Formats: sequence, C-alpha cells, structure tokens
Amino acid sequence: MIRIVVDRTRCFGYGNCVAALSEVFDLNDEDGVVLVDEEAAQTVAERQLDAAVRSCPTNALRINRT
Amino acid sequence: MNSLQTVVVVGAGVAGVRAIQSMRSSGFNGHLTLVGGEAGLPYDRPPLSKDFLLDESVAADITLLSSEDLDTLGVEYLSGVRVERLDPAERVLHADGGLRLPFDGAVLCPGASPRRLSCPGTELAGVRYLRTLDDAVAIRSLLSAGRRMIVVGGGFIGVEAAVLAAGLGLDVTVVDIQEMPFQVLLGRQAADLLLRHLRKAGVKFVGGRVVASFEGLDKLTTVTLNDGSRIDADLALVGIGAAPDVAWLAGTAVLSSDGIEADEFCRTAIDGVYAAGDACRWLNLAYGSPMRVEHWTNAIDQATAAAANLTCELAGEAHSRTPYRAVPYFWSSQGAMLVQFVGVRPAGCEGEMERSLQDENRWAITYRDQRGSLVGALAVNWPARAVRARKDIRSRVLTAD
Ligand SMILES: Cc1cc2nc3c(=O)[nH]c(=O)nc-3n(C[C@H](O)[C@H](O)[C@H](O)COP(=O)(O)OP(=O)(O)OC[C@H]3O[C@@H](n4cnc5c(N)ncnc54)[C@H](O)[C@@H]3O)c2cc1C
Ligand code: SF4
Repeated sequence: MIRIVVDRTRCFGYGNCVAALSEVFDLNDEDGVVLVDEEAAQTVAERQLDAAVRSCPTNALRINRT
Repeated sequence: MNSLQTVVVVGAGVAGVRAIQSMRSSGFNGHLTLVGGEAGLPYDRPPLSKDFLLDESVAADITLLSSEDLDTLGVEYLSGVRVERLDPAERVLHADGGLRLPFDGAVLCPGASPRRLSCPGTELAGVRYLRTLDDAVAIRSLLSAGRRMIVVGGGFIGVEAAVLAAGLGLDVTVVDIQEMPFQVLLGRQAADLLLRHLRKAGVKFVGGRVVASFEGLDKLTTVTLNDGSRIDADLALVGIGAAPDVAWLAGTAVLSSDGIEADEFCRTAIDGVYAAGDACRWLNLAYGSPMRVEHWTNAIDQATAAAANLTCELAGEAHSRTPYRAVPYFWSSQGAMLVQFVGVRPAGCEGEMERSLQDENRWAITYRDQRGSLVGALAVNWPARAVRARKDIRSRVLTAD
C-alpha cells in the first residue's frame, strides 16, 4: 500500500508534481493546494512516483510504503 | 551494465543532485562520484532570495541531501573540490589539488555565476551579488531596518530581495535598464501590473537607467546613475543575470557561445558526456530549437533525463534514450505574491488579461500564437490557473511528432 503524505503548510501550488504525474496529482481550484488521487497512486510505476515527489521544490510530498 | 563503470557528476547544485539520484533510479550500479565546488552539503538556491533572508532556521531546510542520503545512494561526494579541466581524449576530469578523475560517463552541471558589473566602485564593502549560501548569509546580516538599499537589475532575484527588504523596514530602490521590470520578458501590460505591485510593497523603482559608479571611502555611500542622478545607499545588491560557469571547459568541443552545447538527449559532442541545468543549451524538440533555461524545474527535469540517457548509453542501449522535451516554467515569490510563468511569450505579444471572480489579487495573462493556440501564461496568486495553462501547453508541445 502506498500513501502519499502531503504537508499542506509547505505546498505553495507550484504544480511541478502535477506536471510530472497528472494521473495522481492535481491542484485544488480554490486554494491552489495539491490534491492526491490515492487510488491512482497504487497503480503508477514506482520510479514515476518517486520522480514526481522529488519534483516538489518545497519537499511538501512524502511517500509512505507499507 | 558493467558495475566497474565510473560516472562523475560535476557540480553539486540541484541539477547535479538530481543527476546522481536519477543514475541510481535508472539502474546504474557502478561507481558514482559527485564533485561540488562549494564546501558543505548540496543545498537549494530559490530560498536564498526568499525566506532564507528573513529566517536563519530555513538553513537546515535548504539542504538537498544529507550524508546518510549520499551513503544510501552509494555516492562519493567531493565537496569544496573544483574541476579544472576536461580531457576528452584520456576521458579524465582534472580537479584542483592534482586530483585525477577518470570516467566512463559524466554529467556536467556547473550552473551559472552572476554577471559582474564593470563600473567603478564594485569592490566597495556593501556591493553584493546573490548566488551562493555564503552570499545570502552576508546579505542577511546587512538587512537591518533603516538602511538604504539599492537593487541593481529588476530581475526576479532582485525584486524578491527588494520586497523582502522593504518589508523589513529598509529604504529600497530598484534600478533597471528597462522602463519597467520584466518588460522584455513579459510585455508592457504584465510589467505595468508587476510594477504597481512593487510600488505597493514600498519599493521605489527607477527605470531606463544604469549604474555609472558606486562611491564611498571603503564602504558604499552613494550610487551615481548614468543620467548623473545620485542615490544614497549603504547596500547594493547587483542582480543583472547570470552566465554559465564554463571557463574550465574552454578549448573543448562541448562549448557553444552560450554554455555547454548538447543534443536532444542532452549529450555533448563527446560520447558519454552529458549536461544539464543552468549551463546547458540543448536542442529542445518541443520548440525545434536550442534553448538554455535558468530555472529550477528545468534543472531537475533535465538532469533526470540526462542521467537516464547516460545510463542507457553506458548499457549499450543508446537507441532507447529519450529526447528531453521541455516547456519552460518558473515561479517567483515576492513577499506574499506568487508569480508563475509557463511557456514562451511570442515577440511583441501583449497577451490577454484574465481576472479571477473570487479574488481581485488573482490575475493571469495568456499569450497566444498566430493560430490562436495558448503558448504562454503568467499567473499571479493563481496556481490553479497556472497549472491549467501548463497542462494545456504541455499536452500540445510535448507530444512526440
Ligand atoms: C537566489 C536565487 C533564487 C532563485 N529562485 C528561483 C525561483 O524562485 N524559481 C526558479 O525556477 N528558479 C530560481 N532560481 C534558479 C535556480 O536556482 C537555478 O536554475 C538552479 O539552481 C540551477 O541548478 P544547477 O544545478 O544547474 O546550477 P547551480 O545551482 O548553479 O549549481 C552548480 C554548482 O556547480 C558548482 N560548480 C561549477 N563549476 C564547477 C566545477 N568546475 N567543479 C566543481 N563544481 C563546480 C557550483 O559551485 C555550484 O555549486 C534561483 C536562483 C538563485 C541564485
Ligand atoms: S510540487 Fe509541491 S508545492 Fe507544488 S503543487 Fe506539488 S506538492 Fe505543492
């Protein structure tokens, strides 16, 4: 099971994660904070998910693999 | 893949760091060395003109990799070591102290250094550039209320620092050769709005001028502009752009007139030698032309792509490399305001204004080509708009032909 942990206080809506992997990440229209599709996160390649998480300029994203 | 192969990554900025991470995640299991010209652990630059100037505790946060991370990755990190020469025939990088680094593959990520002003007085105490952690630490110690600061060059780094300094109670003036900041980059309409914001933040702006000289005994006291006008200042931050840090590559085949030249795979003229980041001009097939981009997101994406392609080449699978196509993107935070730009602005295009109905501080300008397709967008305080434009432009420009 893969969980994406978002530190909402660090997300500034830069959108790099969305550009890297729009199947999993999107931005909330209202506050511009990241939205995660947890279901889609289970199915994408590990490498892609790692790259998307690393594309965040503020380290707002973390992957928890259990 | 031969585990006895050696890859050397030159430059431990964000591009160099993403390059070593990508070497490992794409399956390279040979010897990996990261050479960084600056002492200490690799760190990130964007905060240096932002939070870092306000709050020292951000320092720990800007580290890109810990020593444990480097161990886990199995990377030998040579910090405070500068590479002085590339010998393509011997396939050796020569570093200072007589260090020889033979390589099978290399990724060159030397980044850029600030362009220097050549007017009189730049040696005076109080005249500063901002690129490194040391620069930022020095500038922060000079940011005390009541001081008079001049920012030479109204680029993003200068404007970010200017807004922060004004917020701290300094008397700040930005001087730029353009009539309005960002005019060449974004057009008059956008520049006019950004200038208003700058003034609202308490920053003075003098456009259409350049610095003629810095004056003072040993410390800066006055700046004279080219029209003869004088501004009292005890701190000057010069931010007039950056140039690729490539003097050490002089005479090799990897250089162009504008940094390191690379093909669509980010490979230079030398087998197994790739490049990425601020110093790299590569053939961007998304636009069918060579481009050099000095933004964070390009540095990480390009380094990731270059390292993956090098891994293919070293494994004898050069045919499975992927061209690195990119749509430029950057953000800038000026105090509480977030500016995001994606794509390119066609020359002369002023763009179309959009305002958010919910929030008057949110606006965007979209730029279209002659056929009416969206090619660029500026979004202010409006990340959702920026991301929409980015998806739209990327879906059109990045799809392989
Ligand atoms: C103050 C500041 C704020 C910024 N803010 C933003 C922002 O908000 N948004 C954005 O998109 N971008 C921003 N940028 C740009 C972004 O930081 C750069 O695009 C990015 O740092 C480029 O990474 P790089 O690894 O290519 O180069 P660099 O970060 O310059 O790293 C290159 C490293 O290589 C080292 N090196 C050079 N030559 C050698 C050698 N011969 N041997 C060994 N080491 C060598 C250098 O010392 C340096 O440490 C900012 C830049 C600065 C300076
Ligand atoms: S990249 Fe980071 S800051 Fe940007 S939207 Fe994603 S989580 Fe937020």
